[in-house]
Amino acid sequence: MTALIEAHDLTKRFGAVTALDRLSLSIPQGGVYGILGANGAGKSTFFRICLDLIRPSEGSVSLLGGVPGDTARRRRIGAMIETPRYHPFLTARETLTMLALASGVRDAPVERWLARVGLSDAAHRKVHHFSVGMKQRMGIAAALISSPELLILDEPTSGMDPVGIQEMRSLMRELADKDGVTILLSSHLLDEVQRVCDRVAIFARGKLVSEGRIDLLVGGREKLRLLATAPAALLAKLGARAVPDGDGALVTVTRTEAPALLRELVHDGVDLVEARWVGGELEKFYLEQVGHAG
Amino acid sequence: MLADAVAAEGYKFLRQRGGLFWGFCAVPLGMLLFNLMLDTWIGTRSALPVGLDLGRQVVQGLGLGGSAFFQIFFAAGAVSLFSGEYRWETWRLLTPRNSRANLMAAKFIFYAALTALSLLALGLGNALHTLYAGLLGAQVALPGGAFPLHALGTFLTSWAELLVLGAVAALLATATRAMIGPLIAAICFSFAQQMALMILGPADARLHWFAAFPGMSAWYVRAWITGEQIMPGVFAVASRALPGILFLLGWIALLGAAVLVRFQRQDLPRE
Repeated sequence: MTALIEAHDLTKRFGAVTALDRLSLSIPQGGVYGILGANGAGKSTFFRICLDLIRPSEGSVSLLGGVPGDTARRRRIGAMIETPRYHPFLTARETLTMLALASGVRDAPVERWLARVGLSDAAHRKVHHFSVGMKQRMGIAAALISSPELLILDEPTSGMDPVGIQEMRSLMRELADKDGVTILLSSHLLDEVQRVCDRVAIFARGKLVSEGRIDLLVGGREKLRLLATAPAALLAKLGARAVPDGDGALVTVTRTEAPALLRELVHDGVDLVEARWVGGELEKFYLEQVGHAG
Repeated sequence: MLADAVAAEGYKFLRQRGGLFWGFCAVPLGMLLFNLMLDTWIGTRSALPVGLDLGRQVVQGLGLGGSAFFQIFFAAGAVSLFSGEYRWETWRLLTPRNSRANLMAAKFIFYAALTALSLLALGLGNALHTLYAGLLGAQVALPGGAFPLHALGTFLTSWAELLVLGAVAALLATATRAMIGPLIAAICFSFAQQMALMILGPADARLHWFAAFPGMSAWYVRAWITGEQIMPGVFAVASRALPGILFLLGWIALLGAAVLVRFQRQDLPRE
């Protein structure tokens, strides 16, 4: 796996506060990578170091094979850090045009990106007057205007309505799957992260407490919950593989083995009402990890 | 990449109408309107002065960059240019897209271009009002042979003085990340020099440490270029004006470098 970002013993102190504490992390190319952590865990500090907005107190970070201070490398990144701010006198169209010019992109596809984030009708309006959700959309368009290889999104759906969140989720997957953009995402919406991300890293108090593919991190913990018209018969059929759970049964089985098991139960005359995976939620795993770290 | 930063800065600041107007357009426009009204008022009530020297009027206009009163406006323009990204927390949008040195240099270049245009507009405005006075009956003398040299020298000196003012504003804005504080400090910088010049200037013809102040240097250099008396019977001399030019250039280089170093090393967790 080629690493786009590699941090080694990264430490950042703001006076007496240690925002990042000897953090080492490797973020691979491709897919959507989530960074989770409570407020003050060091996520935004990490992003700001990657963008050369702040310098580490100790340690180093490699960005696309070089240092963050290298402008040519930074130009291959698009970013939206926290709630984006804009020049109050510029419209949405002017903001994107100005940012494209600063990035060295002439004739940037401004209208295309405004349409892609659903802001075509507001192109002529001053961004300063936008709602929080619209500013978030604008931030994503601003991050994408220079067609980056790596997209850093810090709380991109904060302040968005449910439809907007769903649209952003689709956009992120589309960018990662079709356009080959690597996305580094931070969000407190763990369900959203689980739906959209391939891998996650969990930060707590400036340290890395867990990292890996989501399915592997939470996969070993999930069980298949079955509900049948005759629960006793179901439990008898499953034997030691299952334990009672209310009016159903919790079965220890892998996702690969599950279809065969269900076929077998149906073949044996068990009337199944419901089958769903439980216990594999990222939220539970996250709370355990953060709890251990705390 | 510097060209990209300049293009973005230009695109942005030309749409910041308040800063653009009050910083760089209000002075030449206000002076022109004021002079035209004065000419009209005088012309309708009494005789306009005879022997208005067109060249001298233009040179005077170009030298207005040295006026502490007009420097208030230029300081406002400089502060709105250099403090804006801190005020709106927009450095985070720009710094990933270009080098910090280029982004700051672009602001300097843009400020330099706008002050140059503003000074040229002041010179042109004075020419227009002189010609207007001529139409109203004043006797206007055409510029003499030394005019191009006087005009160019005065323009460059005033421009250098305004560049020092811009660099002071930029350093204060970068160091404090504020807008009002740097504006007040830049205005105080102009007025303190003007007051010191009024109190100490004529007596300082011998050029001691005080001459190192940009306002003093510019005043002396302008007097040397135009051949005007700095006090009755005393003229500025080249041996003392040339160090003044070096002082001005030195201030620009020193303050400009300080801004770049400060900005280059600055953390931007919050602008």
